Amino acid sequence: MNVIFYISSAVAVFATILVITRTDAVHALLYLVVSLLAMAMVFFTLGAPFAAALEVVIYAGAIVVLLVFVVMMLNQGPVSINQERAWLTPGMWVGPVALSLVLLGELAYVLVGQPASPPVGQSDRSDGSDRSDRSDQSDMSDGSEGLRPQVSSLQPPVSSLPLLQSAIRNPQSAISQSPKAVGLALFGPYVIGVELASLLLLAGLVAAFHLGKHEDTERESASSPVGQFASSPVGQSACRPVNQSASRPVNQSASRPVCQSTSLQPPISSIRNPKSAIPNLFRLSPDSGLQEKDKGGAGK
Amino acid sequence: MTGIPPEHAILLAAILFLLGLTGVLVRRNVIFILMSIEVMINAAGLAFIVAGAAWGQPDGQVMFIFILSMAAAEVSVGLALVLRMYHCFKTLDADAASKMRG
Repeated sequence: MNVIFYISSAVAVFATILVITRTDAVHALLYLVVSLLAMAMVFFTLGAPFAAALEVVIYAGAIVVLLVFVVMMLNQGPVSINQERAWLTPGMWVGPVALSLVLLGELAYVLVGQPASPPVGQSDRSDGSDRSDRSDQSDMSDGSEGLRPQVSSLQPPVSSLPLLQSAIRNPQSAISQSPKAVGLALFGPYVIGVELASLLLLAGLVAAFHLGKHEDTERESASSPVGQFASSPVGQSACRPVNQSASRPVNQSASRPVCQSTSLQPPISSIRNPKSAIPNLFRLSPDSGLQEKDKGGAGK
Repeated sequence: MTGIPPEHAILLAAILFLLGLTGVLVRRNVIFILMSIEVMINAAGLAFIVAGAAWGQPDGQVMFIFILSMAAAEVSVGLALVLRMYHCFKTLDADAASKMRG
């Protein structure tokens, strides 16, 4: 188990180093996935299989997929790669890296070298409680530990499975490891935290929606005076789908009540070609009424 | 807790956090900055998990779940801001948005 932990942590560190030094965003995302998976392995070896599963599902699944979507949407060319490569010249980051390596050495000395010589009383006390905790747990899980050294000597990756199985079989020994304990704590003393997390997620949803929607309305408000003077290609491109949609039936616009770009653009086209002004206004009046109703429903 | 000393796991969390911080400070692309922030949040979650495993309590994993939801909200808002910045400035350079104007 120790060997797995050290190997996976080395993989995580190496992949993270590669994440922050790549110039191509997709390569960096691949290394980020590797790093997150190695972190999930670390969680598993630490005795937190539920957190490991959540790490794989949410981090390596959802968040990385979001990042991949944005990278594909923005479609950075070789320009940004050259720009980042120019930023990452060795003369720029050798000094900070050396300084942070010194800091890292200090931190490693403090963290690893402390149990050998405990200078402070507080660290001594925490070490003592830690040792007693560990001995308690090893005492409790003694019964299922007999088989593990043989398996781990044969196959190191599979040796984490008996730990999980023992955690499932006797939950007394694994009160810190089973997902049941996590769920009980999550909906017991931490239920206000769950509510706050749901509120935070709702706020994130509203913020993302607002930021994405604000851009559309601002683009239209920026293009509408340009469209009035009828000189910019932006105004023309904004008016082009409207002229196409002048031949569409009414159901097409009524079936999409949320899309604002179809409902706000017809005044521009009505200014530019006055022949289609009156049919456009008549045709889109139920659409705008539906939008008002939607906004009122969302406000309630 | 398994046979892993908690100091080594905390050291791993510190290394990952420092790597993420280095990425935030060094890179100028906003997407790389977001990725480095994800690495830092992940390292903080690892520290919580290590503490929960060392004390034998499930609270570390509960905190990790909260950190996870916070990271999800953060990355959604951050990516919306990235899209907005790209439509405003036509670039992903963080220095292009360094002026607080309008």
